[in-house]
Amino acid sequence: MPDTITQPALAEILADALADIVETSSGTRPATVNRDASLTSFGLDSLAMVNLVTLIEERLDIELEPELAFNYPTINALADFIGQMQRVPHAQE
Amino acid sequence: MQQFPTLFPTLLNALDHNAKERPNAIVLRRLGFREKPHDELGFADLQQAAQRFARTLCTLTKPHDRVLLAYPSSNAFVIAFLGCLYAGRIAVPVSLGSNVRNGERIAAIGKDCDARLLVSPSLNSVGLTCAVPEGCLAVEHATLAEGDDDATLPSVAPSDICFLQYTSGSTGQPKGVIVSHENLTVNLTQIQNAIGHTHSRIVSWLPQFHDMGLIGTMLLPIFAGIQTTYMSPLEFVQRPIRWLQALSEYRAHGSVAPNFGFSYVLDRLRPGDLEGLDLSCVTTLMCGSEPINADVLDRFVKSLAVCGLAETAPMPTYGLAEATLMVSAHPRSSRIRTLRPELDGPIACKGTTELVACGYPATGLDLRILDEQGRDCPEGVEGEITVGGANVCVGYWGKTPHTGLARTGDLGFLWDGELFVTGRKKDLIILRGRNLYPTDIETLSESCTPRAGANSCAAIGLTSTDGTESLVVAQEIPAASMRDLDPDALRTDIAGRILDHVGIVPAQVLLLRSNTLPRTTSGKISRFGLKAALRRGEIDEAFSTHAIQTGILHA
Repeated sequence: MPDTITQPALAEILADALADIVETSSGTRPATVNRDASLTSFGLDSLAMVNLVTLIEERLDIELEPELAFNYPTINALADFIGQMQRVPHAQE
Repeated sequence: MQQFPTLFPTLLNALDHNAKERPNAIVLRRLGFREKPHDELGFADLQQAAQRFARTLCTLTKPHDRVLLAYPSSNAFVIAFLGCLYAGRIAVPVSLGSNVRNGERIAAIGKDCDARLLVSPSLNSVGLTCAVPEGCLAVEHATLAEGDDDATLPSVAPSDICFLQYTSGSTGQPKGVIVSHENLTVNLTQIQNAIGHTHSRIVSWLPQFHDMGLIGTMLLPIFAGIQTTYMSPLEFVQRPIRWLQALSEYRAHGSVAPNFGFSYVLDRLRPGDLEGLDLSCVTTLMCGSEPINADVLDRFVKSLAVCGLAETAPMPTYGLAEATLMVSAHPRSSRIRTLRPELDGPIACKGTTELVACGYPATGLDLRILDEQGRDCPEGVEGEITVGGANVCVGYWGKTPHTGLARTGDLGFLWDGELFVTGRKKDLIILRGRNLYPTDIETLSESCTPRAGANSCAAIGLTSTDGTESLVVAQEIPAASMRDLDPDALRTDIAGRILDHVGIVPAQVLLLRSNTLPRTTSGKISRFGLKAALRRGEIDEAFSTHAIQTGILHA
C-alpha cells in the first residue's frame, strides 16, 4: 500500500471492494455506496464481512484482523482506521 | 443401566492426573497471527489457573449456580470453564458475537437458566450490550484470575451437572441440554475409542463455546493427555489455508469440521497455496454437525493428495448435543462409504441423493431406528434416530427429564450396521452448522409484508450440489397489497430483517400471490411441498411471468 494515499482515496478503494462483495453475494452491484451506512445494510452476513476484510487486504497488500469490519462497520470508519494504522495523512478539507 | 468403563470418573480427575504425569506438556496452543505470539498452556499451569479461578468463583456464587461464559477463542475460556467445574458451579458457554442480537441471545439464555454470574474478558464488548439479565452479576475474567490459595474446593461427583449446552430451541425459547460429568467422560471415552489412542495432536478452528469445538477439540486433549492447536473461526474464514498450514506445521493427527469447512477450503484454494505442506501425518478428519456431501470429501482428498493426505482421512460422524456430542463414527483408516438408495439396495427413504455412511454406533450406545408407532425399523427402512446410553443427557434445563431412549428428531436408517442420516423430522434448517427454525424466519418475513397474516410464509433450506444449504423464503402477498407494492423494496426489507435478527442473508426471497404456497389438508403450509414444487418448477412469482429458476439449488 502506498504511504501517500489520502483518506478519500482509501475510502474509494474500500467502497469498490464492498461493491464487489455485494455483487458476488447478491448478483447485483450497488449503484452507489453510502460510506456512512452500516455494512449490514448492504446485506453482508458474517462470512461476507470477513471476505470483505480479505479483499481489502489483497487490494492494499496489508494484514488486518478478521473482526475489523464488525468493529468498524462503515466504509468511512474502516478507511479512518486503516488510514491511521498506516499513518496516512488525511486530505486537506 | 450397565456401568460404562471410563478412564476417569470426571474431567477434573483426568486433568489432575495429567498435571502430575506430564506437567509441562502443552495441552492448548492458541495460535497468534499478525505478530501476536502463540499462547501455550501446559497441563500443570492449566490446572493451577483453573483452581485459582474456582476459589474466587466460590466467594462470588453458591454451589450449582449457573455461570455464563462469554469469551473470544482463548485459553482463558478453557481456564474459566474448568474453574466452574472445580468450584462445583454449572458452566454455561455462550457465543461472544459482536452485535446487539448476540446480546439478546445471551440475555435469553441467562434468563432461561437463571444465571447468577456472567464472566467475560471485557464487559465493554458490543456483543454484551443488554446481555446481563436481572439478578445476574457481571465480572471481568481478570477479577477471577487471582484467587485466594487457601480456600478448599468442593468435591465433584460424576452425577453432578457439569455444564449446560445451549444449542437447540428457537430464538424465543432457548433450550439448554444438561450435561453431567458422567455424560461427558463417557462420550470423551467413546470419541477416544473412535479416533484411536495413538491420536495425540489435534488442530481446530471451531467455536469453543459449542459442542463439537468444546468437547471434541478443547476438552478431549485435557481428558486424553494430548494437545490441541487452534485458531478462531473467523481466522479460518479469513484464510482457510491456515487450517492446512497448522495441520502440517504441528504434525497433527486429526481435526474436526462441518461439511462447510471442507467445501470452503476447496472454494478458496489458490495455486501455490499447497506448496511445502506435508499432510501425511493426518489420519482422521472428523466431519459432522451438518449433512455430509460425498463429492466434497472426495474432491478434498483428491486436491490434497499432493500434500500426502491419505484418502482414508475423512471420518464422517453423526452426533448431537442431546447425546453430549458423538453418536456414531465411520471406522478410522477406511474410505468413506456411500449409498444411492434407488440403486444400491432396497432402501425405503424419501431422499434420492447419494448418502454418506456416518458409521457404527459408539461403544456402549443403544442406537435404534423407530417408526411412528415406536417399533424398530428393519435394515434399510427409514425412521427416527433414537439413542440411549450413559452419554445421553437427561434433558433440558427447567424441563421435565425424559426417561429411556431420546428421540433425536433426525431421520435415518441402518445398513450393514452403519448409520445413514437422511433428513430431519422437523423442518429445521442447518446453515454452516447452525440450527435455524423456520417459524422464527417466517414471523420476521410476515411482519415486513403489508397486510400479511400468519401462515403466509414458508422458509426452507435448499441444498446445492456441493452439499451446502441455503435459505429460501417464500412470502405470499395479500391481494389488497399487490397494487402499490414495490417488490424489490419488500425483498430488501425482508432480507434485511432476517439478517438483523438471525444473522443470515436468504439466498432468495420469493414473493407469491396469496394462496399459492402448497398447503396440507388442514390448511397449514407444507414446507416439504414447497421444496418439491420448486424442484418441479411449479412456483410462479407474483411479479414475474417466469417460473422460478432455482439454478443449481435443489430440494
